[in-house]
Amino acid sequence: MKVLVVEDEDRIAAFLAKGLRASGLEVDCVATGTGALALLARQDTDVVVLDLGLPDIDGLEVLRLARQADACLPVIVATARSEPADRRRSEELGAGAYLVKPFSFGRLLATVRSFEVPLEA
Amino acid sequence: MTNVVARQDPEAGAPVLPRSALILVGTVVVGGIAVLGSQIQALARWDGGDAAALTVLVAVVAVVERFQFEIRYRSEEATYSISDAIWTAGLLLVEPSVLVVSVGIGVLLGQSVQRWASVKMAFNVAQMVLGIAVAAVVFTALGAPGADQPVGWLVAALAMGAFQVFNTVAMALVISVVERQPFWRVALVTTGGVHWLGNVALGILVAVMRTTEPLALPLLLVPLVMTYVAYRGWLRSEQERDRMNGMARTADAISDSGDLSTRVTETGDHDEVGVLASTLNRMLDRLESAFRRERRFITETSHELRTPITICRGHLELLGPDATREEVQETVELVIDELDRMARIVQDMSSLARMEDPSSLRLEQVPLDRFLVDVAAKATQLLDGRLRMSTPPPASMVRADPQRLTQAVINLLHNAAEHTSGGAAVDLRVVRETTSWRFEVADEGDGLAPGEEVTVFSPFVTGRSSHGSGLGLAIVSGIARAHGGVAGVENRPGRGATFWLRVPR
Repeated sequence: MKVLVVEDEDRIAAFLAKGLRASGLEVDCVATGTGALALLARQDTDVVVLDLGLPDIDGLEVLRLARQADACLPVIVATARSEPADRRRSEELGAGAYLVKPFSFGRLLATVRSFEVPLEA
Repeated sequence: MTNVVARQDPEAGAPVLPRSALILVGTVVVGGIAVLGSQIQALARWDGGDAAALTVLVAVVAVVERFQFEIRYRSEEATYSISDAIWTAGLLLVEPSVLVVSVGIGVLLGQSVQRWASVKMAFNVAQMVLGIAVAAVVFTALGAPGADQPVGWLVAALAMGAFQVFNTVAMALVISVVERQPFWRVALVTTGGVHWLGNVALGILVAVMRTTEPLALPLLLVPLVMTYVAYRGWLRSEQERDRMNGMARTADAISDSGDLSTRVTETGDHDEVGVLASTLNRMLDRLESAFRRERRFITETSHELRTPITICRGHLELLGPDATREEVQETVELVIDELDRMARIVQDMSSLARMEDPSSLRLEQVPLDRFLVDVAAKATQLLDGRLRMSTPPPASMVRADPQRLTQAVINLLHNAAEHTSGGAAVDLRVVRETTSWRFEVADEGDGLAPGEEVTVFSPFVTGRSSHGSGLGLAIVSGIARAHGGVAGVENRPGRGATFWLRVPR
């Protein structure tokens, strides 16, 4: 299973990649929304972990475009934005989960894993 | 006498009355015209005395109508005058038809001098004519006794009571229709009992004096004028009390609900209470925006602290029992670094909070040349020989808190250092302006994106390369404001920026 981590804060991306890889997952890391959309176009991503405060495109827009391209793609929003409006908007746009920083890595890993089993099983 | 009509909205051209109110007003006006028409027959029977009485009554009423008290009440404006006293005397002294016609002409004259809207005038005249006709019927039915017998006074009072009831009902009906309120609730509040009693007593006195010793009548003017002045003052204090009570209720509601968007009603009066109301509202404006700023600051601060906490938590969580010595060492260094970042944020937050308070400044006369040398010394490590400084005019002084001003200029230098790379020079200048000193820090970095010139001074608006707390420029702005100055930036997108702060000389 391949996870795409979209996170502009190097040190957060670093531990996410390290932890997910240690759990046997394949990980790609990008720091920008443009980079994320380019990688998603390759269609080999199984789950996205998405930060909302990206330097180029807002994470919500990335979420919208990603879900537009692939309506089944699970996207886990992992953000410092704790306002209910952002959570609501993310859910409307089809985010599979919404984790507010600081989150525990264990929780994130469990959320990623929950998307591992195909829905119809 | 009580006149009433819907208060006009100054924005709108004419009062917009609901259909039911228009019907009501129309009925009263038609009724008034009918009553006046029915007096035509009686007119033929008038003698010279009646005509003279009419002239005197009309003249007196036209005069007293100009000394009215205006009382704003909900959407209505009620006006009180001593005309009722004239009508009371009229009941006791003249023919009913003379009285009714006098009321019609007198009120019309008095009101046309005031240049009121024709609808309002027609309604008021008709209402008065109908009211006095009711009073005359009651007075005649009870035997129409003269002013020389006490029973005449009682009967006149009863007749004027009917007049008052009629007016109160008409006024309350209009208010209840316009405001869509239950009639009885409006009627109970609008009754001006004390006012009525005073007018009736005065009217009886006039009638008694006219009958027994007309020469004493002018003497009545003295207590009358005194009463007028005192009464006006009393009414004003009543109105002020009402408005103060309204303000107190609003203030209570605000303190109970904590809803700072509520405002007290401003009537546009320029008296003390009006000034107080607008002062209160200005204070609420400031409080509201201060609270909003504070809320935003708290949200932004917590948002800002989430990143380092996430980093520490994540890296520590992944440090398993079989971690190598190097991994542990690396994580410890990283965590300490992030803790430093949090410490900087917290430190700058408390600086910023202090900055907002001008009383925390320790102002003194600071020699500019020595100040700049100190700043340059502190910035040596930061800019590593890239700082170019121009010398200020000799013996120049600035009145400032030297510690704060140093912090502000250092923050600007920090900002320049972070947004320029390589050996690009950073200029520090002090420019003498007419009333202030302007401290400038110019860099040759990339400048700001267009539109960022204002937001860059807000908390936590940081460029990508920033390693600061995101509060540095907000602190500069705070220090400038605390000194009675201001901070700003001249942006040259792609070629650099000149950040400045201005402090009064």
